[in-house]
Amino acid sequence: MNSSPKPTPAVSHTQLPGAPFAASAGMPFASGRTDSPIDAWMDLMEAIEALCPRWPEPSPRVGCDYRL
Amino acid sequence: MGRLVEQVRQAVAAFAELQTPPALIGGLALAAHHVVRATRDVDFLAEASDADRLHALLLDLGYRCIHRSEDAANYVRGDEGLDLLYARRPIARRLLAEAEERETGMGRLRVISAEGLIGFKLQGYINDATRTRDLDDIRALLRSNRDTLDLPQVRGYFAVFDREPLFDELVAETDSGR
Repeated sequence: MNSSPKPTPAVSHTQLPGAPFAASAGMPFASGRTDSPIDAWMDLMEAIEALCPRWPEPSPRVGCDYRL
Repeated sequence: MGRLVEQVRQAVAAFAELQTPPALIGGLALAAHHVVRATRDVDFLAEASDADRLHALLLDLGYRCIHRSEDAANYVRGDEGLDLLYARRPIARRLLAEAEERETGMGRLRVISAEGLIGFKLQGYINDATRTRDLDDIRALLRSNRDTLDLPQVRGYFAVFDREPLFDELVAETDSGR
């Protein structure tokens, strides 16, 4: 974790009552750190892992309409 | 270093021996395009001809395969997941070839373009309309990259799925918020 200013959410939680808080969820927001948003993601996930160290086992995501 | 970061770093290091290393797609690739959200989805776009080699590499890393088709494969290792989408068609093959390299704390990553990422998010949404998170991601990508996106290219991906009206709606929504 570093002490850089954190990005400002483009969508506030007050607009989204009941927004889920889970290992793979939450609303996307624009990173204010234009230098390295990947670093911002690494910081975010480090914090989330500290809060939620064990995740549910992933299930297969099977699609059927692949056109790209 | 976080566990997810270490998982990505390890996979990327193993993939480096391939002539065309897989490129990040999915939620993690969002971060490369200025959209940051929590995700533990580790998704890569890979050459279809590398499927067997990738399968062997991932088994060596301790993953087991829980699904594999000619289009995609899902691997798990305990509570860690890693998904592969195979580039078999012209659009995906071009997007993979054009993926940009980024130097990151997880190593040198290849990342799909924002336009391509929107296309794959749309494909994910088409495959499972309950995945409204994919639509939220598309909205966020449009909002964060509006001035640099090749919109005709993006519209072309919506046309592949006969969803041009959805594209027009999303762009209008983005522009109205500016």
